Amino acid sequence: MFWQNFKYNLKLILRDRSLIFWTLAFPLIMALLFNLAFSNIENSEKFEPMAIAVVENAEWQKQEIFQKAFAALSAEGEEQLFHTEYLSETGAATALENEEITAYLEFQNGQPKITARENGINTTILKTVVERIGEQSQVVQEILRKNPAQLGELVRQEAPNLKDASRPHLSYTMVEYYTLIAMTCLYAGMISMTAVNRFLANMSLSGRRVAVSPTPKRWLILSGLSASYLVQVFGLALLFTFTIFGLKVDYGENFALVLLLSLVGCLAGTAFGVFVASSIRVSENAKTGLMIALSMFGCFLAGMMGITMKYVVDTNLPLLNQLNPANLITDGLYALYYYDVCERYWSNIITLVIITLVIICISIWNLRKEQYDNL
Amino acid sequence: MKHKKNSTAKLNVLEVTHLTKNYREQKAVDDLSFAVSEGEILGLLGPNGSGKSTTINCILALLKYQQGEIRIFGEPMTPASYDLKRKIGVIFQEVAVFDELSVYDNIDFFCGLYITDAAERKAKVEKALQLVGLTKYRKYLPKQLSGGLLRRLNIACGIAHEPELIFLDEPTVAVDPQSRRRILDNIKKLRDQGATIVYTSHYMEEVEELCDRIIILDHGKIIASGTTAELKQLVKDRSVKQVVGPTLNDVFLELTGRELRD
Amino acid sequence: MTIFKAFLQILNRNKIILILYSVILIFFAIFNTQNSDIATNFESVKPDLHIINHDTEQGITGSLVKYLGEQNNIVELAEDAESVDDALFYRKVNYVVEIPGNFRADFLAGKNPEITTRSTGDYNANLAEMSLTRYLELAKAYRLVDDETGMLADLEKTLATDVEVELARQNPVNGLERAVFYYNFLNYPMLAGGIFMICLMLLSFREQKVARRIMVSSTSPARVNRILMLANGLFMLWLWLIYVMVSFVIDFHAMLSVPGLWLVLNSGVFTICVTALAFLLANLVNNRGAMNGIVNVVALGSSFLCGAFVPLEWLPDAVRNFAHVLPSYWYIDANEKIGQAEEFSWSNLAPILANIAVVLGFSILFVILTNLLKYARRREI
Repeated sequence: MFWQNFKYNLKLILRDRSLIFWTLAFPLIMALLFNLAFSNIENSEKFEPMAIAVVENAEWQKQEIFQKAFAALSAEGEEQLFHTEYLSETGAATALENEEITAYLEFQNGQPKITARENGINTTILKTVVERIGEQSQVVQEILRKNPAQLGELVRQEAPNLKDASRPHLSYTMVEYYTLIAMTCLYAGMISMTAVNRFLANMSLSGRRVAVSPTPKRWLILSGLSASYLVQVFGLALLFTFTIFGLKVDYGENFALVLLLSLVGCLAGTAFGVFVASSIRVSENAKTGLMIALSMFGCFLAGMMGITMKYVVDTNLPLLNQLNPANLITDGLYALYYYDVCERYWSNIITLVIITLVIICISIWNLRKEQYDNL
Repeated sequence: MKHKKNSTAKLNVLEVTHLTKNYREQKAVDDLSFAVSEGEILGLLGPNGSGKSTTINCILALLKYQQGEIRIFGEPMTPASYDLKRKIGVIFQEVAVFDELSVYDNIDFFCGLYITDAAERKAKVEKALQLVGLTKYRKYLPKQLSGGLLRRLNIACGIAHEPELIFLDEPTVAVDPQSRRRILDNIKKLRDQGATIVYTSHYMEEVEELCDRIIILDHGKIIASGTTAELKQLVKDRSVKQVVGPTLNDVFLELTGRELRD
Repeated sequence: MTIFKAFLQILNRNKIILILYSVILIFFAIFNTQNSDIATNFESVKPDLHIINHDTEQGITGSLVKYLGEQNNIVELAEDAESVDDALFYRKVNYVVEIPGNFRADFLAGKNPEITTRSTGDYNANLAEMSLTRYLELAKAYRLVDDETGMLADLEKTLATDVEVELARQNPVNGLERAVFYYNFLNYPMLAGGIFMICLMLLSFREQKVARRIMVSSTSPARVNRILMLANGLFMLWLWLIYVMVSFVIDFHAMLSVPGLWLVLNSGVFTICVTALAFLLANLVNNRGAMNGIVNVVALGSSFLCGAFVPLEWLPDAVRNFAHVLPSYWYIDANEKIGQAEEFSWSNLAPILANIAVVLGFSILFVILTNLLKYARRREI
């Protein structure tokens, strides 16, 4: 009985091309788009030595400390800050004009001066470095004035004792892919909605046939939902495979928990579809449109179109995101990636389960109805 | 050939008493009572909006109704009367099949709601295919079928499980004469196999040909009932000007009036 | 008129989706507008820094905190560790400095107390770390010869040195960043909403039964088409006007300026292009399922690839080059150029006008393709 229906439900889902597009193909297309759009962002933020020039005039020849310092900072290695060219004044100006260098340093009347293409972080870094080199001579003079004996100590100074406690996984573009997992989970609703509509007398003609048959519709709905869940889980599996092996997305260390969250998320999406099917009486097209738009909005708040949105909503309107299933899934995956297993992951998953149960209860209440006022 | 049955000797398969159904203020079915006895073909006639489909949907426990009682095979009909439902077959006015499934799969799916045993079901599906003449179209998808074939598929989906009580709600709407002939023959075959049938239609000649008894509904009320002959006699008696040899069509128009319906 | 009325009914039945797209736009516009502190003269670009101080506010510690505050934007965060870590991940802060209790005493006692830092590892974080190490190194040097008071005095004197910076080019000064953001993002709701509605309309009218009824009616198909085009055009105009009005509500001053009005003009031309594209797509698809798919792929695809969500400059070169074949690229690129223009001289205007012309060119191309398609279709029948 169950298997007979399950088999036909599977057939019905797999033959619906637009459903298959939304649940299987669309997430993959989005993943590819993300990869194209975001692959460069984090690389462009990584610190790389910047191209600068020094005006090699008579004044520069007098700046022994600066010469040594710039030679050191331009030496290849991990600590390299600059690619330094030594040019004439006009040469440096031309290089700047042609955007070959970010800025150049010049000494006028013993004072350093920086000419930069535009205001920016690079210019500030160069400015800070020049100021620091300049300070060295001041420090030496001051010590000589107060206690020359300590000058020897100065060179033996230890570096400041900084302990870097940053978490290792800082790649925020990963969150974009997590929103995609969330979207795919929620799109399970589209299949389940269609599946449930088939068995509701007030929604479809086939539903009327079911209603006059001796098979209780709960069994049909259950088999329909099982089939749609299975298809969506398959869709998720495709997406995971593609993002992990094709796009090298990092889901953190604990993949079992990633799977658990996705399976729960898929369940939430399925329940969402049942809810829309059973509780909102508009045409099926309008339902599909509504499902897409609502899922998209949820994903937008969860950071799909820029993760800043997620942080802004998380900090300013926390309740909105704590009730947003798309964000609960995204945030759970983020927690696994960034914090490893933690309370936050579990609280996300529990909230998601509660929301799912609530909408399932409302749906069951509405589905219980077997007689209608009109058809 | 008419099969006039002795209705008093037979069991009432369907009994509707004082059925009243309102859509908001509007009365769709108004204190309707009738019974159908075993092996009978009852024709429900009436203009558009007279309450035929509403009556059938109430009988099938799809619609809530304000008053009345419905008994099928002597038992009250409720949404959970699964044993009763097993004996009922419904052919809806609209074609209710899955576009994604083939002819065979559609019949098999709906038959599967009634019959769980796979071997038994297979035999019944084959029989239904044969009955409506769709055997060679078994692998076709509904959208590849013509209007007439689609209607026949619609019928096959409703009767494959061999029900004892069949509701046919305008099964021949928009069907060419050849297909209609086939459908009417099918209905007769079903009757000959012992099924009781409730049949609604606009086509008077169909009703005249098929039905043992006719009920004419208007504004949710029975305005006349009886055999074709009885109805014709009624009109003859009532009519001011003498109608010579009235057809059922004349009867219908005479009883329900000639103005257009909404 | 009946056609028009039917049009409005379809519009009304599908308003929820339009409203949702617009809400997304407005959300984005309101929340993505923090970073607009660009100055005329050179001013250090400041990293965002958060300080957790377990020590006193006095003496060397207080002075360190003060100096870090001058060199960086201090960002206040909730106390808990998770808020701090979240802020780092989402780049609300670039660098976090945690000063241990007893730092002042230990430092003055000649020790090298451990300071815990957290970093995003980017340019800003490097700069923030530079300000921290700079201060600590100087303080340690002066510790060799000074007591705390002397040390603070010397530090202040030394850190006051400022190197002159001359900028070859001024940064944009027209204060239009917010508006440019808004108009870039507009690409998404405009495409999604516009294509969705127009396709839906045309599909509803083209749906077999209705189309046949029109074909046999006394209204000529050409006239029906003209009315539909007019209705859709008016709808797009209306959509555009609403979005322009929202931009004025969000940032009235910026919009009521010459560059602001250029943004409006640019989006107007883009609206024409979207309309033409929507007509083309509506003629390509023949069912609603396919329509939903195409709307989302086209709208999201061109928004991601052309810089509506992620600024153009951050996109990989290959993607940027590819994006040239999409009208959204030229529209968004024009927005960026308007945002960067210092003054509206001919040399600045020419490239903007060129972009607008390209968008118009795309519109014409879409119209031609639509007509070719229709011609081919009619011959099929």
